[in-house]
Amino acid sequence: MLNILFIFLYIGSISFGGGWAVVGLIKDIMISQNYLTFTEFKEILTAAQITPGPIAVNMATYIGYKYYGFIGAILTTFFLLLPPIIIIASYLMLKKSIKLKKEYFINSLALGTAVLVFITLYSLGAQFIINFDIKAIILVLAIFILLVKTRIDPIFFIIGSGFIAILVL
Amino acid sequence: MTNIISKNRELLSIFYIFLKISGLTIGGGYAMIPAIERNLINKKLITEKEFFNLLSIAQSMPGPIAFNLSILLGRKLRGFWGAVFASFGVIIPPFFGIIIVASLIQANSDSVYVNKFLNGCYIATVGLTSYVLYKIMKNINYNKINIPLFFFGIVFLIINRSLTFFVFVSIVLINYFYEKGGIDC
Repeated sequence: MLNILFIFLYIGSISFGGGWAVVGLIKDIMISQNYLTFTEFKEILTAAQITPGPIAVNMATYIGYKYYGFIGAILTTFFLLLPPIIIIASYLMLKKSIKLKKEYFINSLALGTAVLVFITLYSLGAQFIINFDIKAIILVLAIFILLVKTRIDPIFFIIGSGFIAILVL
Repeated sequence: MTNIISKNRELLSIFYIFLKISGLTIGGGYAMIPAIERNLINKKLITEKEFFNLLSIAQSMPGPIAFNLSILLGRKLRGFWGAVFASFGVIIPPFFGIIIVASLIQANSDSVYVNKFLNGCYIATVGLTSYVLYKIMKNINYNKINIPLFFFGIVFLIINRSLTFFVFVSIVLINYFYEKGGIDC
């Protein structure tokens, strides 16, 4: 229990940029420490996509629920959110004495976040390239292009892609 | 007495606004931001300038953006308890939503169709992640050391994932002090 709470405390403290940065990290830690199988990870990822809320929070809630029931769900969610709560609170208290150049700082955070999101992408998608899974690669590229070119809600791509997989893969 | 009642009512309405937005916007934090913006600005609870100021603070903190933003907005509207009520409103729908949906999926996980469906959703997630990466990288103001730092970070983390925190903090600090032009606190 303590181990899992510590993991979420750690993940919470580096989840910049809306959670996508740490999905890969959650996957690698949970699978390598045998908390989840790859299939279970896929289940949680999909459930997180089709329910409201930030993805990292969804994952924390679900993993807590799976191992320690309702109380576990509350605790893992709370520990994931504890670092942002502490940091926002201390920011609000120290606001006047912090002299950061905001635009540089946000730009630097974006760079750091880009690295973490790339790692998430690598962790989730490298298997398609290694296994030379042409169908999956085409689907990924098609969804990427549609997301860039249109303003369709991502939820349709997720559910649509699920149905395409039933028919084609 | 009436004072206390109206104060409680205001807190409840803050809670309800955030609960509604969080419960109705599927697709993570980024989808929620425009919904929060329209709701609060239309109700004249906050000005556009104040909103974007708080948004940029929320973005520079760790944690889900929508959650961070709800704390800052709640505090701005009604102080400490405003922050508590707003953040609870944001967190309650995903908390119960995930438990319900995940148990539904797990109950049917032996089905071939459910498994294929999950594989398809997983592929879509990879597409979505590449889109998030694209959006972030498009908005960076590039300088000479960005690209080398980016590749350095990637190679380092592919080799050793346990250094994630260290690599992230180093990249942010190196780039910050480079752009700022040295250390002069």
